Amino acid sequence: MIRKRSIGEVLFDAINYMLLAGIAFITTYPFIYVIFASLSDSKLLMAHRGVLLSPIGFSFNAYRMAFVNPNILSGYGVTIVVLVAGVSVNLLMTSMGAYVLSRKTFKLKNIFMIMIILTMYIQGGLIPRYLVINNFLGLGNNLLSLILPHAIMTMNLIIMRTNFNQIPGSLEESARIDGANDFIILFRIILPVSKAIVAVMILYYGVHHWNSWFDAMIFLRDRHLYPLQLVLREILIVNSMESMIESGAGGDTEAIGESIKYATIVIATIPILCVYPFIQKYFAKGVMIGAVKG
Amino acid sequence: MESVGGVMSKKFITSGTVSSRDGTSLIKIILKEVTSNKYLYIMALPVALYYLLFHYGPMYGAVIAFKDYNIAKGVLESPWVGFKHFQTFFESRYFGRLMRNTFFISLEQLIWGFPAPVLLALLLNEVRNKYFKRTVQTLSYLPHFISLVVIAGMIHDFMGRDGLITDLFTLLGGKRTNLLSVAGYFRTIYVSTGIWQQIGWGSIIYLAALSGIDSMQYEAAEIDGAGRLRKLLHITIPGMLPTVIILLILNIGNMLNIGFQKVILLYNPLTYETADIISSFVYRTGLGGSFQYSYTTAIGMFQSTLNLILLLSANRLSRKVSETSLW
Amino acid sequence: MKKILNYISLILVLSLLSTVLIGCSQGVQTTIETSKGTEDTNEEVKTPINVTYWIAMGGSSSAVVSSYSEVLCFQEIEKRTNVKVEFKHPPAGGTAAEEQFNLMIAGRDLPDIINYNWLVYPGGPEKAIGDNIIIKLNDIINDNAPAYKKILDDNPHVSKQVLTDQGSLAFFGGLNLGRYKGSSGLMLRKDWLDDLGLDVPDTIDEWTNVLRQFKEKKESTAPFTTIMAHIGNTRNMFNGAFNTGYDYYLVDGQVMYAPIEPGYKDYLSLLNEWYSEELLDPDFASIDDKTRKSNMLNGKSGATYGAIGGNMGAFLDQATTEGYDLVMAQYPVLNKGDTPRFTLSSNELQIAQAAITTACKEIESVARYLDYFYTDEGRKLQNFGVEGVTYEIADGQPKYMDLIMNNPDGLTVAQALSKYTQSNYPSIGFNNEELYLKQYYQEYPQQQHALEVISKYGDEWGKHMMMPPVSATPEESQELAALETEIKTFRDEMFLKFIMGTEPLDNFDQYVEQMKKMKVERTIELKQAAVDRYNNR
Repeated sequence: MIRKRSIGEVLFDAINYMLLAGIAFITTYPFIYVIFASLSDSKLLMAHRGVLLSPIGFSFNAYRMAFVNPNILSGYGVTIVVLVAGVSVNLLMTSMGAYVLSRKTFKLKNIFMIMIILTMYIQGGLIPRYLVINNFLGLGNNLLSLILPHAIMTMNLIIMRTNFNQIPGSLEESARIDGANDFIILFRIILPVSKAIVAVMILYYGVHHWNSWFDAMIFLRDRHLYPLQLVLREILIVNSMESMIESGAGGDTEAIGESIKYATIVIATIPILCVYPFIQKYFAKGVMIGAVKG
Repeated sequence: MESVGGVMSKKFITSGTVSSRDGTSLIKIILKEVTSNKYLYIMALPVALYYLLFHYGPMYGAVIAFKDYNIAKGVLESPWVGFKHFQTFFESRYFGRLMRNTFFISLEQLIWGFPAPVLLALLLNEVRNKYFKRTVQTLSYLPHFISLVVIAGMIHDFMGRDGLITDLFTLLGGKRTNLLSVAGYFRTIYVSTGIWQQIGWGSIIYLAALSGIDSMQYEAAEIDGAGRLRKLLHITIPGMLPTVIILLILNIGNMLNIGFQKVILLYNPLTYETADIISSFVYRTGLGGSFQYSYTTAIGMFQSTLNLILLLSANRLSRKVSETSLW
Repeated sequence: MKKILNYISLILVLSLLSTVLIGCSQGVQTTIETSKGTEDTNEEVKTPINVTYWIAMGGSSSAVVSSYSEVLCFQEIEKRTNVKVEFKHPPAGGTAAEEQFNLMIAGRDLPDIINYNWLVYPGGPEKAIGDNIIIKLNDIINDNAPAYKKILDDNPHVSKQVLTDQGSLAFFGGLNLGRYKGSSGLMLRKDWLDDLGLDVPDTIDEWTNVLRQFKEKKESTAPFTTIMAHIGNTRNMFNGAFNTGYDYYLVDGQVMYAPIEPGYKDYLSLLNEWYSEELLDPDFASIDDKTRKSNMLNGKSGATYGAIGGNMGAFLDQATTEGYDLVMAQYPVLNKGDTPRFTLSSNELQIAQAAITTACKEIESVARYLDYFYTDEGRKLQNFGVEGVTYEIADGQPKYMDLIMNNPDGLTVAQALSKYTQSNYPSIGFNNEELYLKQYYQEYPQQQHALEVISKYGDEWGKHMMMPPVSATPEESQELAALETEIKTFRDEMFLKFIMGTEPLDNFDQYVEQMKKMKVERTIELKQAAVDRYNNR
């Protein structure tokens, strides 16, 4: 049954579309700039200021220089492995945590919550953390050091818990009547109904793993284990040696540095852009249909 | 013992209620509790372990705020200095200014930057065309992935003397000058560019929350003859309110934590008056060696304490006013 | 859904398996192995020994090699000293090296040799010895490092920089014993000067004239461009003409602080004049370096301060304007014929300093390995590579061959040098050899000319006026750090206010008073104490 739209609604829609298009345009522009800049001739880029309407002096040089680095391919590989393993661990741990924190029967719920939130406010600092992970657990130079210490991000845990809280208790009740235990309830009932939030978690944790480099920098010694972002950082710094006052003779290094800065962003971001549309469909409305019945 | 919504254990069949009858030993009570909810505790175990190991384990390091930390000596052997570092910071000539700037930038970010993604999500929600919606969504989060250094470079470009934004600004009657050199504009530039960069990414969580609203409710409202506005007020907003509130509380509890990177990239002595914040000032203090670790930790501890107070207040307020809160 | 559970656990198991596999397959890291036979300290190392060496890779190195063990000169030195080195490198750039260094110390995870700027270690190298991280080398070098010892003995000025206040020798430091100790200066558009029939300016008045002409005749909107990071009390530019430095400096062994000197007021007046006439970039306070460089390339500016390599070379390379040319000017003076005193120089001691740690078990052999860099053969290897491969002798001097200067794989000169030698990055042994520099800057004669110009009057500043590499005690550092942040913040804000006219220069005295209230004299005291200790070394 489609109700006819009033004039006000039509007007609203029109404005809405225009507004959103405007927002899309403004937010897209930086990325377009980045793409154009990465395909530009560095020398011309250096002298240019302001808006870029197309690449100046088309050149693939920046990408060529970036891929010359032998570690880029291994960087991609390592990052993918860490991401898959990491996100799996994240999902498992976070959903378990969110689940228990949203169960009314869990007596320790509030204590847990407080203790967890406290960790956001009291921190030991870099060195003690390093000592725990490297010395106490012996995870130095091991990819697990990138996964385990980040098994749960508290913010995400809280968000997921909030979502679980909103799921009608009737679902759980009926399951219990049928004799289900908590594991079954979590994995067969709660999670399937929370597709949207799971999708968000995959996105948040995925991007977090994809972009991280700091832990790799301090825990990994082997260059072949460097994740993508760390490799890209190196390329960036190596190619824009403004700090090396003593050396840095020719203009070569500096010039390429300008467009490489942008190429590294493109290299790092394109994969995520490709993945996002797949996740997006979980944000569609109506995931909850039928779940409440019975 | 609090439960969300106040519904008590009447409906639960498997869990047993804990009785605190006199005479029953504590251990028996605990055992009974654990066995009747054993799966819950099994699930909670790895989570607890994670926090204990990786968060509470290193926590002893926080004491260096009260010591003169020497890397070689380690945390335990470094000498105690009490509140010396805090004192140094509080007695600083610029303390007041730093606190003020940090607070006001944060506040503006909260007032403008927090609602922006929520609004975007709501607007997107009203769009019927699936493809338009998805496209705008995808495009809007792109700036999130561009590094701060590049964004700052763009800001310098656009806000420079002959930058694009400056052109617009003069068109609207402003004086032509490098916009980053005016202390009064700094906050606005900082906050608005922040919105520009994060609005898309930030809206994702709200879109997810919106999609979790039962569409049956919308259909029922449609049958009742409700217009869009009524649907918005009575279904949409209440549906995403818990998420919004929780995130608001968390954001308030993070207010004083503005990182130094963006500020450092955009400020200069002309704008110190409004732009210099706690973390950028501490960053400039940098080169002190071991002193640096202790000092930074002390200031961090100070900021965290204030943040915690803000969090507690926000949470308590939320408990009174709504049904949603952290605990 | 059971499927999801299975799926997740499968991925989890597979991933964890693969990470563990990867982790294990890295192989055992060689720890120190004690050598087999006993050694007489006076004999060559007979049996090969293995050592671990932590060092940050040079910028251009990480683009072409993944470890120094792939670099030709290191391979050669290994052969000749019979010491096999396993290099450990932090990721290039940023604060990576510093973070890893701190963690290494905190975790007591010490390799045999650590190459770092020990002067920034809290408390200085003396403290590093006291904290049991590295060992004192004074006695070791007597028998095991004759080349290094000789240099220190022959050059008291150098050994003063290298030793600690207490007279301890903590490291093998990279040394620049050549003439060229500066690498940046004031440069102008030579083609503009030629067009306008102007000479390269020497005095302040000449500079004013040149900048005016740039503005009027060349339509330059920012004749002299710079950024706060350069002109804000970090380098000598025009201040020298007014007999004042830019930060702390020495006059006859007394520490002075330029921003409160009377000469500084005159300097600020000049900049204020230039600013109001728009001869100084009106946006210098808020632009970033990229903008400054664009200004020099697109004709908005005609002069700036910059590095010979990074700026001059880069600009000459990237400029698209017909006839674009640059020339390096001498440090300006007030009156024609005066000698510039406030110039640029650097210490002989470089930031690369290799120390032997307390974890090392083959101290004598390691000392001999490190000493090799200071011998004649070592010097040649490090700076020029292997004869016949990377250089040949022409007119009695080493001359780089095509492998370096016209690399067949398309590497730039900097990258080629990094692949075969260690010449273009601070390292132990001899740095910035004149012969290397001359060939390095071969591309543009303007650069070679610039090199000469910068270095001409560097001696007085370098030897008598520049702050020497002093070490502050931890207490001093703390006090200084707290005071200096405030003083610098105030100073920088006032600097801009005076130049831009928001604060009248008549208030300079009040400003000095305020600085004194902020205890600037105490900071001078602290610096003086460190200098006095230094002079007594």
